[in-house]
Amino acid sequence: MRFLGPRSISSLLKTALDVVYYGLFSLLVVVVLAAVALLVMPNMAAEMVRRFDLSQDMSSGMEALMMLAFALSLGGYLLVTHLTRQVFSTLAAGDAFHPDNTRRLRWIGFGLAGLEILSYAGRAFVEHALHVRLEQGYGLRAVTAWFSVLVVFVLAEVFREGARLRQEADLTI
Amino acid sequence: MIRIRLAEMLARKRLSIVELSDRTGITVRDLEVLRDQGAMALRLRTLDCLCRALSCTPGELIEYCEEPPR
Repeated sequence: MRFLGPRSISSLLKTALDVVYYGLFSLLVVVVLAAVALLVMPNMAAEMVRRFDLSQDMSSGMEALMMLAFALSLGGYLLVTHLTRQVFSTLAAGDAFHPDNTRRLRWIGFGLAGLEILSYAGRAFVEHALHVRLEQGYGLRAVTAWFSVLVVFVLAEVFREGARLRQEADLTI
Repeated sequence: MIRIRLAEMLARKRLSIVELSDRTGITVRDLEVLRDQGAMALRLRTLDCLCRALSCTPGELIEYCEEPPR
């Protein structure tokens, strides 16, 4: 299977990234609309709480905060996907060591770290507000997530060195 | 720092950068980079072409000078 061009790994990955990106974008729109709907129709929230058998009602402020946090995390994923698409577009153009990719990868790392921290805050908030215990044994998954962040930062440094070498090659006459 | 004295050599030989490009096969853009001291490295092959086209020695084309204060 070829790496670049039609029906290649690259086009497959591009399609996957596009699907994720537009899917996240649609989901973000839905969440924002739902948040607006919750503010306009407070009864809807009570109905949802009853339907999902949550232990108790939340105040409208907490609901709004939860929606905001969810929208924020979706925005974070959207940003990470957007930057990944940008990195990928340079790769597809045969210019993987573009100087901007270092910055993009660093922001992907910061984005993933921020999303992980946001998820801790969200979990703590939900557990405290709803008096429920979410997923047990999250620690191992957290290690994986932080390891991924570390890998992205290492890759950013690799790309920085790659960009430097490319510049050096460009300026070798 | 190492300085390429391409501008001086072109003036001395009364050549334009385009003419030098035609003689050496080095692109005008690359010659401009060399002239403007933007190059990070110079291949021996390039130096050979330049010396041949300008009828000079590497010592005439390249000089060492003190780093200008920043």
